[in-house]
Amino acid sequence: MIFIAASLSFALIHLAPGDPFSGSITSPGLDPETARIRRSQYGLDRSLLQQYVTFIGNVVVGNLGQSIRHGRPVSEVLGIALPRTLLLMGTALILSFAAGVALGAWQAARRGSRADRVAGATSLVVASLPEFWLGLVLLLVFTYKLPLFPGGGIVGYMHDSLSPVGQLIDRVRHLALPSLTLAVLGTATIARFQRAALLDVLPHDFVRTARAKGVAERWVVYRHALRNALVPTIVLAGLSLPTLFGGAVFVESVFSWPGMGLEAAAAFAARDYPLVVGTALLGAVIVVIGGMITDVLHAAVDPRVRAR
Amino acid sequence: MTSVSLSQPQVADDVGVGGSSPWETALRALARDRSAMLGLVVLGVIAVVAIVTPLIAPGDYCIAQPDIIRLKNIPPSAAHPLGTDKFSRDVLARLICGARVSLAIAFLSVLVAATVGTIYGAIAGYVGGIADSVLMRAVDALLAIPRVLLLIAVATLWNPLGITGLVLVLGLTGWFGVSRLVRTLVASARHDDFVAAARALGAGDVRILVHHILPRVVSPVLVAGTLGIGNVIVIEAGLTYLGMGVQPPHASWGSMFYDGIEYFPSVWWVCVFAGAALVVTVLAVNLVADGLREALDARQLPAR
Amino acid sequence: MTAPLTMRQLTRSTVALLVAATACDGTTRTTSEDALTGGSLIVAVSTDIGHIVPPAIVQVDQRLVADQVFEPLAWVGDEGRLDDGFRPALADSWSWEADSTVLVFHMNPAARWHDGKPVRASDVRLTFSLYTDPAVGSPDRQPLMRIDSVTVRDSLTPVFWFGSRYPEQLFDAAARMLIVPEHAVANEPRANLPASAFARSPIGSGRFRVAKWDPKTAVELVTDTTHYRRRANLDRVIFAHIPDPTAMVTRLSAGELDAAEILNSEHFRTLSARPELSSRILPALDYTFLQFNLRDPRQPNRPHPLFGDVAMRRALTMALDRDRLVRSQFDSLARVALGPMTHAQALADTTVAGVPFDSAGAARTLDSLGWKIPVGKAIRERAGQPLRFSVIVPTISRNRMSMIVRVQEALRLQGIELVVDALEPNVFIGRLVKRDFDAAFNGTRAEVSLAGLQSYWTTNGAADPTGRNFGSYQNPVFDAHLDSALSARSIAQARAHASEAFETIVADAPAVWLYEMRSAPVVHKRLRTAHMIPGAWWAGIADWSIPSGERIPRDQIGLRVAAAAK
Repeated sequence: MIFIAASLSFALIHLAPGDPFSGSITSPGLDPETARIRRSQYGLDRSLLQQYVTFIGNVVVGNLGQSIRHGRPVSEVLGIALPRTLLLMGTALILSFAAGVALGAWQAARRGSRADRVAGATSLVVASLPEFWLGLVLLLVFTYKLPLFPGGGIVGYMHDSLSPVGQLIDRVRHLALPSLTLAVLGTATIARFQRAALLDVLPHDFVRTARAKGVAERWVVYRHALRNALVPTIVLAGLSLPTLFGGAVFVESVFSWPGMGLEAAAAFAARDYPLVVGTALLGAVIVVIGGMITDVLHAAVDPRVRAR
Repeated sequence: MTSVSLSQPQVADDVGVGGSSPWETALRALARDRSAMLGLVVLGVIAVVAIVTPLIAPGDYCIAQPDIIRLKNIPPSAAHPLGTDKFSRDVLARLICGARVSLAIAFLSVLVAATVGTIYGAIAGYVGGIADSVLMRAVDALLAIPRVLLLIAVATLWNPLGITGLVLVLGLTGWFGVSRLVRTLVASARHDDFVAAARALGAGDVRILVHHILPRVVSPVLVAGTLGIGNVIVIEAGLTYLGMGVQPPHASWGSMFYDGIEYFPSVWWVCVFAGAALVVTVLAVNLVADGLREALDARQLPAR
Repeated sequence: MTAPLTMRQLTRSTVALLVAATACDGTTRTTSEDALTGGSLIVAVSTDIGHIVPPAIVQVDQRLVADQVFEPLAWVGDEGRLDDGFRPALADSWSWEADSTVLVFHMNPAARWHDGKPVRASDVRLTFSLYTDPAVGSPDRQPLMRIDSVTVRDSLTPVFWFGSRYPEQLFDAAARMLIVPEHAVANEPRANLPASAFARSPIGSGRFRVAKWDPKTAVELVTDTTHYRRRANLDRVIFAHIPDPTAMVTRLSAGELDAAEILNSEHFRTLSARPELSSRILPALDYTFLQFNLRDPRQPNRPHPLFGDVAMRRALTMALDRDRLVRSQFDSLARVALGPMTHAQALADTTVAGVPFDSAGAARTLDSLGWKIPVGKAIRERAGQPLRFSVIVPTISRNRMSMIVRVQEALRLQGIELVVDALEPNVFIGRLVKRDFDAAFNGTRAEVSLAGLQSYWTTNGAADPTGRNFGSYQNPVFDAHLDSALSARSIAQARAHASEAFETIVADAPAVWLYEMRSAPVVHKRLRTAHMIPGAWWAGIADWSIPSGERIPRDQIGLRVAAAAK
């Protein structure tokens, strides 16, 4: 499956028009001699089939090639960018999952009440906001108007001169706004989803049984229905793994967070073939891992699946 | 226990009020839901304005730049209720022009994605076994490829893109998630009691799928789909950076965002109003979808 | 289970804790010894710098950093003259021999690399060999080909041998190349200098050293306290990668950044209004033009059905009120381009009479060419065909994407339909190179000298598929004038010939010369900036200083901490 994804990506990026050796828009066209040397350096003067075979051969060994833009190994480039994105997206995912499930369950337990309606309307509005718009608003409010948080980057520029505690706080402060942007949106989405999933489950027999036993409504929701209703949410979380990996390009751009999103976007634009395909390959691996985790969680939560 | 005939098995959720189909019951419930009706009204107003305005306004109201020196970047005022943009174009006029394009693209592409994804996922989830594995592995492979890559590649082969192209491209690159969701739900539902009962009573696979399982799937898909609509409008803005979006001078809410962000935040009205249009639309769609879902859920509560 | 509430309470109190904690983050403070020395400067750049190995530099942002870490043999003087007035850098003095075809430099014996080794003439020879090596791919390679060779007369005397005389000899030899150390670079693979060990820890002779390099985030330079000339005043300079313009403006306003170059008139206006920032507008070298393809892209041996005719090209130029278009978009951040030159170029003739804005004249010309507006329609037609053409525009340039919309509307009012074809930058360049376009919104960073014009506008540049004359403009008169200018014996003569070349090309209108950008650096007021050189506002950073009374906390961190952190 990884193989298919990688091959497809290889085909697609080579299909796209444009050449990595083009110069810049204020200096279009590269010196022909230089271009020729670069092309043979990266094996781009051979036929597509030959390149593909070499690529597969390299991948099997674990060599992802060299990024054309950076001149450094793809694995090195990805190795730097990926953890940064994982930190950001991981934090956002955990925050939004926890808050979203909790909020959705809280709403379902009080369905139809005023509180439920207000919360529902709010998460509806919030979930419709575009992420870069929200990011910009947060940036303006919390950096420009109220200087509470730094405006971007992973750490401050004077990070090295801080004490260890100061460094930790510096990191957290820089993580706050970008992950909050994503988490707010994620919470609203998951809350709505979770509430809907819970309401789907509530009419079922086992729930009615619990109710008949005299269990309070809230407990019905939290303990009995939630386990079943977590299934679609887990699937949703599993589905978001490719996005997780790809990073939120807009949020990374607004907050100058040098992660996978920015890296991948720049790689596409520059037709940096090795980096693009390497990114896709890594993405495929993560999706597979995500699928496995989702299946495990699914089995843990849904006894019927286990029984099979 | 009610007696049943072998040719027409009846299960509780097949019986509606006065013998009408469950879908009709749902629609009637929907009509009684005030917030859903509000959403429908809002959408209706937007649609009417979008369709009618070109018929009554001067030919170039979308693209005319009256005075690029003196009338550019004017904040909301009496003459221009939503202000003017950097090309001195009236923002309200642009919003109306953009409505047609953005709404069409958003709704149609999500419809395409939801339909394709549901069919694919339902088949995979219901059939199970090796076919299921193969189908889902294919989807996983496609999911692993960054959507941007797919968009660029497809747009390359198909140049210029046009609105139809844009709709199809967005739809055909967005169905993977839906299919996985549907597949999981269908796979779970396959083991439910009433499905087993229906099968025992001789119901065919297709009937089981359509009548028993799909209604369960509609709610989550609806929620996922409506979220997708807002997503698509935003993606549309991003496509402009790739050169695949709506080309000037035509308007879309996405391209208005792209234009407006250049001078943000001092010239805030273009982005804010384009964003507001987006939010209002998505809200309206979600209200309708919520109402629809609740109406369908009400139908599912067993009568016993 | 009251999880949600607890979660929210937890979040709130955590935020409060963080905000309180950052009020005292325990920086070590060391005061600087000298009242003038000390301070920090954070400059925002919009692209990811990657590396600063001088021969492999392709982007302007890389020059911002490289100019602090490396030095040339001599710098262009304040007046910007290309033949005189240079300020000594690695070379103390120079002299001419053999009727000005040999240039001899006398290097400063005290010059040292950051690792302590002395700077030698052999370093210059190696640098020249790198700059002219196609495997390295320096954009300066072509102009430097006019230098035959560089030899070493003794350890402090590099000698430049020219094939013939031309006005910018001194500029090419002394100022184009940033000298790199032979002992550190000689063994690095030339085809991949950006990935070499030297790239990761560069050794230069400039007044700043690279202290820390965080890929894609920031490059931190610290002052070289043992520099052979006077040390730079500032303690550290950080070049931070800020990709989003709105974020850059926000952080500049919040005081997180000290300096940036602003390309956007609204941002410039907002920032200039802030009391703590000082802004200025300088001439710069970038200009853009709407280039016509004079050949039919589908049948390259035939002239373009529309643009093969000079009358049509002039009519299109006359139809545009360029002054209004440029003012609308840029206010004062750009001016109307005169031709393939900018005001910042020493040899530019700024008195060239361009094709004037004359919409009535344009209409008359178009009518006479057969393009008339049919009754009830808005676009001109000739023999049933509408007057329509497409323009390719790179999406990455915000300014061009905006400008083309203004141009589009202006032409529509004249009955001309312009179709915008927005393309990703690499695709855009690909189409340019293949000459597959009707019109292209092209742009260039002008050469300080006139050498770049050959590739862009001469007959040779057109015939050569690797030249940059993408529109295939061919005029032997222009070629002759340009040749004379490039081989003139003095700057004055060169200017005279160049003037005639410009008159010719502007009258031919192979492109609509649209706008010439101006450089608009915005710097925090506490920094006392030296005179800024047009086209390179950052060049004098080593002489900038911050009066001790105006320093902010981050200025006072001092050097010892940075050294300990390495």
